[in-house]
Amino acid sequence: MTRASHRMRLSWFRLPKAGAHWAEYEDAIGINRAALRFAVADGATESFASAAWARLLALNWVAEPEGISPERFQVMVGRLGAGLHEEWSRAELAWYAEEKAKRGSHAAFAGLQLAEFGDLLMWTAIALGDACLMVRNGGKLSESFPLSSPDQFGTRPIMVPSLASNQPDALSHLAIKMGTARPGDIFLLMTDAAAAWYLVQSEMAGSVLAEFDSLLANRRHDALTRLLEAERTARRLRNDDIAILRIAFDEAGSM
Amino acid sequence: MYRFQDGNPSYIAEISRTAPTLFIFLLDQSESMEDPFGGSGAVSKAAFISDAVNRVLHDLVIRSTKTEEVRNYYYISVIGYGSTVGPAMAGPLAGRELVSIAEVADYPARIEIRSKTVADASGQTSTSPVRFPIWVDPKSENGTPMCQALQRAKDLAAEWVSDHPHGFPPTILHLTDGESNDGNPITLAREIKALATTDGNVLIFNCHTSTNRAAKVEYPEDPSRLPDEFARLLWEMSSILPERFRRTAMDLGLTLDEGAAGFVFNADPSAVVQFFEIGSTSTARLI
Repeated sequence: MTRASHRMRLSWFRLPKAGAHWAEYEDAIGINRAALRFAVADGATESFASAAWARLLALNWVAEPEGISPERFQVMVGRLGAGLHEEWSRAELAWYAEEKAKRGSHAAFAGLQLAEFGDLLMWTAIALGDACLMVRNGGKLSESFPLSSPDQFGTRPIMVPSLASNQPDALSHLAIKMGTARPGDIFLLMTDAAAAWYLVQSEMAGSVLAEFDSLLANRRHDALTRLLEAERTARRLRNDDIAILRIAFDEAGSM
Repeated sequence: MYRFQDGNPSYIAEISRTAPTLFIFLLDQSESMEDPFGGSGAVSKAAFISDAVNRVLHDLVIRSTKTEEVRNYYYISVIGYGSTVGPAMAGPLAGRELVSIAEVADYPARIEIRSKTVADASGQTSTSPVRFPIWVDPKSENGTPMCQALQRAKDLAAEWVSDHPHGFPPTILHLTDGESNDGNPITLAREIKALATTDGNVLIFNCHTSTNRAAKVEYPEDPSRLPDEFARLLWEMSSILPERFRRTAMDLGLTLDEGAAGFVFNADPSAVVQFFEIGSTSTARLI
C-alpha cells in the first residue's frame, strides 16, 4: 500500500439516463486503489452490448500492471475485443443481434494512473472519446482532458472499438497527458454528459459546483441525484448515463 | 421544457421505449410503378422502392438492437395504395397497420441471401453473402388513390400524437410516381402538417419518382424552380426540413438552404435512397 493510497479519499456516483432502468446503464467505473489506477468508460448506445464492452475496458485497464502506453492499451483492447467477439460468435443469436454483433461495440474511455516519486505525485491520463479527466484545485478547474471546451461535446467522437479491424485507426487517436499533482488537487473522471455540464458550470458565476463537489465527496447520493435531475430538467445537463469518480487526498503531509 | 425558436418547434424530444416515435411509409403501388426508373434498366420502380423500404426497416431494427434485445424506439406503418389502400407488409405482419420495431425484427416475411460487394484496405473487392430480410414485396396495380392513403396516414398520425403528446412527432415518408386520381390531396396534407406534439408538427416528406429522364430537383426551398403544377402541389404538401434533417442531408453531400422542403421531384434511384436516409436516420441521435 502506498502512502498516497493511505491518504486517498474516493467517492463515486452513477446515475442512469432519466426514464431508463439500471439494466440499461452503459457506463462503467474501474478502481484499483492499491495500484492508484482508475477509469471510466461509456458504452456507445448505438452499438452492440456496449455496457459489457465499457465494463470490460474499465475493469481490465485498472487491473493492468502499472504504467501507460498506447502500445499496451492496444494489446489490451485487442485481447478483450477478440474474447468478446469469440463469445458472440459461439452464441445463437437472432439475425439482427448477429448482424449488430458483427459491427462490434464502442466505448469512450478515460483512465488515470497516479504514481509517487518521492514526495511528488505524478499523474498520467489516457483517453479516447469524450470521457474526461478534470483536475480541480481551490475551486478552479486546472485541467480538462482530452476535451477542454463544452463545444467539443455532441459530435460523434472516435471511440474504442471491440472489432479488431477498426482498432488500428481508432486507437491511433489515443491521447495521453501527464502532470504533477499539487496539494489540494481533486481528480474527477467523468463520462461525457457530466463532463460537458461540469465544463459549462466551471465557467459560470454562481454555479452549483461547490455544492456538487461537497455532495460527491460526502457520498450524499440522494441529494446528488436530486441536484443532477434538476439540472437535467433545466436542460443544462444532457439526459444520458452518468459515471463520476472523485479522487482526493487528505491534506496531512506533502504530496 | 421545450425550446421553440422563432415560434418553430424544435424536434429535440428524446426517443425511448417510453417515448417512441412513428414512421409511416406511404407507397404508391399503382400500375405505373412497374416501369423502370428513367425509362431504362431492368429493375422496376416498385421493386427498387420495396427494396429501399426493406433496407430502411432493416436499419431501424439494427439501430434498435441492444445486446440480444430490440428496444421499441420506433413503431412502423407501411401503407400501400394502388388496387387497394391498406397495410402493405407481407408475411406474419400482413394486414397489420401499426407494428413495433421488435415485431418487425422478429417477423420478416422471409430472409433472402444476397451478395454484397466489399472492398478491403487495399481496394480489392470481393462479394460475400448477406442476409436480406423482406417485409415489403413490390406491387403495381391500378390507379393512384393518394387521398385515401393520406387519410389513413392522417388517422394514424392523429391517434399517435393524441397518445404521445410530448414525443418526437410522426414522420411520413411518401413515395409516388404520379398524380392522385381520387381528388386533390393538398387539404389532407395540410391537415397532416397541422397535427403536432409539443415537440413539433407531424412531418411529411414526399418523393416523386419518374419514368422520364427529366432532371431531378432535390429539397427545393423555392417552388418557382419546379417544372409544373403537379411538382408545386407536392412541394406544398411537404414539410420544411427541420434543422437536424437538413444537417443529415448536408452530411450526405447535398447543399440545402434554410427552408428546404422535404421533397424530391423526378428522383433517380440514388435520390430515393438518400430520401429514405434523410427521413429515417436524422433522429438516430435522439435515442
